[in-house]
Amino acid sequence: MKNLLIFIGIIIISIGSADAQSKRKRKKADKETAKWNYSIECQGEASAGTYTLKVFSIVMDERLAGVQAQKNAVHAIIFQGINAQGRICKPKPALARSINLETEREDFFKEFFASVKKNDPNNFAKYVNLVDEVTDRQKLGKKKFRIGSLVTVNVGLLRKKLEKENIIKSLSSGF
Amino acid sequence: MKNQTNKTLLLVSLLFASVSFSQAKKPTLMVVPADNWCYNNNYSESYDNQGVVKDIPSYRIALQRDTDLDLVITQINGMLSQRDFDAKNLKSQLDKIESAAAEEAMRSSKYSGAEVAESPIDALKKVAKADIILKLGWTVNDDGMEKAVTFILKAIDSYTGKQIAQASGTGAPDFSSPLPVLLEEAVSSHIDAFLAELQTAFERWFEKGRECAVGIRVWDDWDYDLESEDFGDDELGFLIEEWMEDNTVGGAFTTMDAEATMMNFEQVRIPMTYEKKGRVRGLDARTWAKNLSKYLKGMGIENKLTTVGLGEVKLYLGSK
Repeated sequence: MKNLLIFIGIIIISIGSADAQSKRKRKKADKETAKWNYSIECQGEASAGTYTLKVFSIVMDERLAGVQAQKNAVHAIIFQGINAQGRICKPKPALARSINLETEREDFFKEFFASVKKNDPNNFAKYVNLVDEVTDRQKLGKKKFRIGSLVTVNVGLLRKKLEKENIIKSLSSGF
Repeated sequence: MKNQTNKTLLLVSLLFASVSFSQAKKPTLMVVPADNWCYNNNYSESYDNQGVVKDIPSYRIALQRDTDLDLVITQINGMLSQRDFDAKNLKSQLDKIESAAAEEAMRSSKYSGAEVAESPIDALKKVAKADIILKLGWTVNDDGMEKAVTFILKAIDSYTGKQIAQASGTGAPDFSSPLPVLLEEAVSSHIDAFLAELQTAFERWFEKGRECAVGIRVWDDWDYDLESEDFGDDELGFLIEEWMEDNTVGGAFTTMDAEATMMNFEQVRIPMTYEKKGRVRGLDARTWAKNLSKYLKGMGIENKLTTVGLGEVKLYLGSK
């Protein structure tokens, strides 16, 4: 009986510790996200409205590179647009029509880019797919890495989501 | 109290502004092949214009002979639909015009056998029309080994003839993909930037008004002209300009010509909406010019209002 109680206790403590660890990890990831330290290369369009991008993220923790690359790709598509890449890729304008959109709708984007579970409908992860987590790796300092990752982003779906939430205007808005 | 009234007025006007923002007339779009693409591919017809033989592009021949054209038009239309903009289909429009013409040719009066009256002007106007025409063309660059497609897509505002969006460029060379695949790639790689430009043009319309052109003419049997001072405290031409100033967005218009018998206004910025019977409705050039017609009638000037194309209106002063 005593052994059983000890066993249950150990399980509860380990679950709690794993949960706390995962929370810490998410918090750390969100902290990294706020820096938006990345560069993007367009690799082509798999199909209409789906971009294939190579994201170079500067991260302090290598393990966060994959999730950070996905966030960075979505961030670039919404706020920065994608530069042309020779004949492979034509320039893609940003989905945001206002340069202040990120600050104007800070609350929405804070939640949107938060590191929560993938099945959360309000999360960025629904629109991006990690093809290759690490394609390039460069150590920049003691705890600083430049990690290249390959992702695809469903821009059509992402645009629809932002239009539905009234974050951006649709082509037919006003008519 | 006054403050309270002002606040209420502000709220009401804001409410109207938000309502009006969703009531404007949706422009119609249609994708057609560019003229030079038609000529280069021999999709043109010759016609005799009073002794002068002229070539005009034939959309019907192009659609019949070029399967790639139908593919590209369908793809662009599909992408517009995804963005809640249903474009007119060129082929369906041409079919509609043809069947309407055939129907009218067959129709005759039950008693007299008279046929449907159609002036040469009416016949000329029976062309596929839309508010915005998307003109597309492409060339295939083939060096014997690899093929690359140079693609061009332009949006022309039928109201003004101005280009409001464009996308062009040459795709990556490819030695294995067939032409339809290269064309599909060209469309999908250009369409996002193209539609973003189009959206900028729409936003400009809402902000600064839609551009149109206005012409004023005088029938030669009218006793007055645009220099007459019988209708107010100034010459008629200046009274019309004053009305334009008051009824355009930000008073924006350009007087191109001002003579005794004719006036031409261009870049006339008209609002996107107006209010009638408590409802906010979409405004077009004809409805807007109707107010000018009423203003002139109010001064005792009988007039006739006609539209030329979609964004040009002409008023003939003196009689109907």
